Amino acid sequence: MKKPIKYILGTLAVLLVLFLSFDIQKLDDYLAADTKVHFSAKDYAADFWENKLPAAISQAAPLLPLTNMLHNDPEKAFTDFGQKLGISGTWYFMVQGAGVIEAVEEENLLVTMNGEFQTRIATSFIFGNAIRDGSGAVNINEFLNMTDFNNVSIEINNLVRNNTVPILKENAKPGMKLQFAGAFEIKEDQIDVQSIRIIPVSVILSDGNKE
Amino acid sequence: MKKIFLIKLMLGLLIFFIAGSCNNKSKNGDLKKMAVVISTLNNPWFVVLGESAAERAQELGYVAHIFDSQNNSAKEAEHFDNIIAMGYDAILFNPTDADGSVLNVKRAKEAGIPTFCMDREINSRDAAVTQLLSDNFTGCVKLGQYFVRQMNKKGNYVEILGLVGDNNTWNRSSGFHSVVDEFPDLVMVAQQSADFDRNKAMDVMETIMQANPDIDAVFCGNDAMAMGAYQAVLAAGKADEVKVFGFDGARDAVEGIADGKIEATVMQFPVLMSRTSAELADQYINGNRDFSSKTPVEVILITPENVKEYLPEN
Repeated sequence: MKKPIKYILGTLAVLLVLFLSFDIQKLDDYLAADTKVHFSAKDYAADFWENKLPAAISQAAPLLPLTNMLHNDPEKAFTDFGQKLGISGTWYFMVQGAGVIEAVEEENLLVTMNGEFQTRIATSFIFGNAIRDGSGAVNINEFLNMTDFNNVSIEINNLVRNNTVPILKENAKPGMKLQFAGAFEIKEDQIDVQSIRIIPVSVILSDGNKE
Repeated sequence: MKKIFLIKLMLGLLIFFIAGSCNNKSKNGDLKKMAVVISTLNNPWFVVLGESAAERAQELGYVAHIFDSQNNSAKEAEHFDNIIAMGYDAILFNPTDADGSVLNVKRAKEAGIPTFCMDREINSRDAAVTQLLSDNFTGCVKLGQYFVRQMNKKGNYVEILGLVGDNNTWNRSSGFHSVVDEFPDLVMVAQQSADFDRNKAMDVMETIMQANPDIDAVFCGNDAMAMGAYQAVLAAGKADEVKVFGFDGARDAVEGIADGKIEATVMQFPVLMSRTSAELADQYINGNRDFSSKTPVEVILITPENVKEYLPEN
């Protein structure tokens, strides 16, 4: 074979190898594909609801003793039962309790516990991070960005609206007994246990004779 | 006597060596350096962020230099090239773009320079040592609830967004919509970006009002845009009809709430974020490696009910 043909074939072979070695795509497309396709907040929230929330409920603080502790020794209440995110003065608590429905309000149920203490269970205005952060079961370090982390809150609140609130909206009446678990937030410099408003994740209603 | 002098001399030398090993000096004896890279110094909010970070770094014994990226990711990349070449010891970083800035932080990491993000986020779990970020989403959830109550759950509104490449823009928008979208009688008639810029927001609002004369409120992604939108509303003679909501806690917006011009804003704490970032960088340089990848910083809803506490004179 003549030398020039050898060189041309050799060069073509090298170029072919080089061409096949590279995958050229736009940087924007690459970064978008790398960072945005993997996470579904809806799936994450469904898994949280199914697999993580039951454990958080089983360890939830009883509401009445917690309110006493918040009143008398808030630091101990924060340390023993509270969850806080980052640099913040807001604490989140997962709680459980039982009482009698005193009134059905536009956005809440007013519930009397132990015949004296009154608290509110939300049936509307279900917003914020009380469940996500109060449960202590969602770790911010697992998330690529705050958007994903925050979308989990939105989806958890949707589950509350779809799964828990309808039970209360359709059935709750004054005089009925209510067993509940849920979460609330409180600011450490504005502790007022009378204004606690609980976002419910688990409810059992009964008329006194049956559930 | 000689013995006492010798003991004193030994103690003096010991203290000198201990102090020498603990201070913020590099191997060649120069003071260690922190770079403060800010997305833009064309906005007073970011000037405060950058200057507070540099001031705290200096208090901690570092030489600190501020770099202005002018909202330009190419400029930002150039700054990182220089910072890496000049061998800075840490970078306090306010990124221009959540995706585009990741590569810069990774390059610094490969060069052994730790980066600490302030206020603006990058889309990465591990490129930066940690990211101190205003909890924009939660702030706008609270603002959204206030908005709904002020609007009596109905009306037409406009949303003016910040920079579309900035995660803060979408975290604010997403927090707001996570509330407001639950009320079907609240209708968003227009949504447009004004890049966090006051003059652009004024132009955008003027144009939107020409196409949509029946607007009851405008939610802006920062206070500079809220003040621009207010100027447009005022010029159209609709200051009493259109409620203006902002975000940042800027001085003119807080005073605007006290004067009845602005309905509400959400106060961020740039000084806290930037000073804490400098302190975390100092801890890292001194050996600490225990950092959360993200640290949200709480923000406060400011309304006429609590504005007195946040006026500059108070």
